[in-house]
Amino acid sequence: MASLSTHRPGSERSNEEWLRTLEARDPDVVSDLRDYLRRGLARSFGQRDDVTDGDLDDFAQDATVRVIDKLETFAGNSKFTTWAMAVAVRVVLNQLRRRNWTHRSLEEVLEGSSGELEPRSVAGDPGLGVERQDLLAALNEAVENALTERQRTLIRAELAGVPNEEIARQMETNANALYKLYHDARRKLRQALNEAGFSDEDVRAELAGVSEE
Amino acid sequence: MEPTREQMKELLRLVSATRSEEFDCDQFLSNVGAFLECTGKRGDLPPELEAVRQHLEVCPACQEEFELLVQAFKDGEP
Repeated sequence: MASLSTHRPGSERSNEEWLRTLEARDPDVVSDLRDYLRRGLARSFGQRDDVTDGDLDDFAQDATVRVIDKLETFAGNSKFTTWAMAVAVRVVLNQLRRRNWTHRSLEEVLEGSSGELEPRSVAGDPGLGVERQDLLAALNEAVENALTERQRTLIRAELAGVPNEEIARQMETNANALYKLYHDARRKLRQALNEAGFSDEDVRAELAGVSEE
Repeated sequence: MEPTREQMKELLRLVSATRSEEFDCDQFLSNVGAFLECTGKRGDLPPELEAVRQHLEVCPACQEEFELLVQAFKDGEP
């Protein structure tokens, strides 16, 4: 197939030319995109011990396919290549998260059977001031009483560092529904703190104190 | 099991950063390129990209993605 591209490879193509030629699956442009993503991914992931040169080749190929699949979602508010690289980073990071996840159930993680989490009550912590202890105790109570079971599981899994894709899979939902659940949970907790007498300003002041520790 | 003190502090930060209307992760992905390009310029962040900055505050997964994206462009165009 003859190339539809009239510009030299790389980021100097216009967004319009990238889109037009990739929609036509121009092999030279597809190859240019794969090479571009490969170079960027090498910068982002090349220093990791768990990523080989062969992995980078595979990642670049997978990312190229994904970018072409998602062309219609490009909003056009940035350079095409910047958006494509963002898509590529997400593709690779999701692959690495799946690869590195130890396939434990959420119940196992949240029960601490792995021993990675050290349970420690906020109540009576000598390292916290009285006001902050009250605030964190109110937050703890809100987690217990203001959230649904699914929201509580999600919040605890997020805090335990479980990848979103794994949470979504185990909760049998999708990424967007999971984010809505997470957003709703945070809004409920904020409202519960307000109703417990902690204004948004109180919380911000306490956080400023936390950041100074 | 009870959450750790550090986890509760992190949750407090996340709750404080919560807004009534937020980008989800797909909306973030659609706009993060424009956000990245703006962060290298002088001046205030355009209002339409404020939701990208806010999403970064409440979504650790997208925060990690953004840090890696910055690495990809750290020394200019790849």
